[in-house]
Amino acid sequence: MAAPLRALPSNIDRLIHEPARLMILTALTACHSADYLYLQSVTGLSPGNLSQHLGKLEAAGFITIEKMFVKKRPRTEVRITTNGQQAIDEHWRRLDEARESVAGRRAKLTAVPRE
Amino acid sequence: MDPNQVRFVTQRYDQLQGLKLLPVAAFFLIFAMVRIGRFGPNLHDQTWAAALWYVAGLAAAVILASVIRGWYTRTFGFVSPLQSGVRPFGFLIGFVGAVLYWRVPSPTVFIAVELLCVGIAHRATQKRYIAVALMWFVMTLVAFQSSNAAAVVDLATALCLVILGVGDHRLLRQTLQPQIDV
Repeated sequence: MAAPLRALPSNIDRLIHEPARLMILTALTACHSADYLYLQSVTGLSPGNLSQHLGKLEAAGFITIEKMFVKKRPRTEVRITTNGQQAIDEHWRRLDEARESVAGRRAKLTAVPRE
Repeated sequence: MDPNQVRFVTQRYDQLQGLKLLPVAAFFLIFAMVRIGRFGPNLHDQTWAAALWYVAGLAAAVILASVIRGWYTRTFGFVSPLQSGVRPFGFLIGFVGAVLYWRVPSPTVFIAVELLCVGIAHRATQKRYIAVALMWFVMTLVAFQSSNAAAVVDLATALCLVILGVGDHRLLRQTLQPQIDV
């Protein structure tokens, strides 16, 4: 049986790595801005949960949240900041590095001749 | 959930609202029937009446499509795209051209105008699009003069729009969870 993953590599940002927040940031990198309802549709989170995650990302300076009225209806628009964009790019780069490193180690292990 | 799929759907959210295509498909289907005299008024030799019917039908389809767009926004939310893929100028030229010369199937005019817009917008590197657009215009005027040929193009367009629309909508539903009962 394979050994369980005990810990994330130390250089992986846990704030971004959490699946819901990763999905939020991924969606926001693909658009200029998205509203609250769309992020709920993407993540499947309840309104309370989504608010908590957005609050953490806003506190870290990764997103901005703007409340407005469109045709007399309230709309909450969320936008990724330059910091957020850089952070998620860096996150993917580190994940790729970690994956390549694991793949390299596995290749070395399988290359050792067995008696 | 796959981040690549989330990125893909978010980038093309407007395009993947496939049900918007269905009223336009219905319009082409109905107009194909009109062209071959199987439905509605006999429009042959009545250019202005035909143009009027054509404008009214297309306008109704566009209004219905915008209602469906509103339903998508209420159900899945709103996304402001990085770049707008819409070229209202090209659409307008295509629309006017189709109205003025209604016997030509409008899908072929739209395609020609879209090719022309790409060619003009990127004329430094993609001049060939202008040449292809002109060829397409000539082919449209020459090849689709008969009502039957135009009706076949309209029918094929309707079928294509249904296939594309339903497929795109399904992809959207696989990725996004509706936030109201649908």
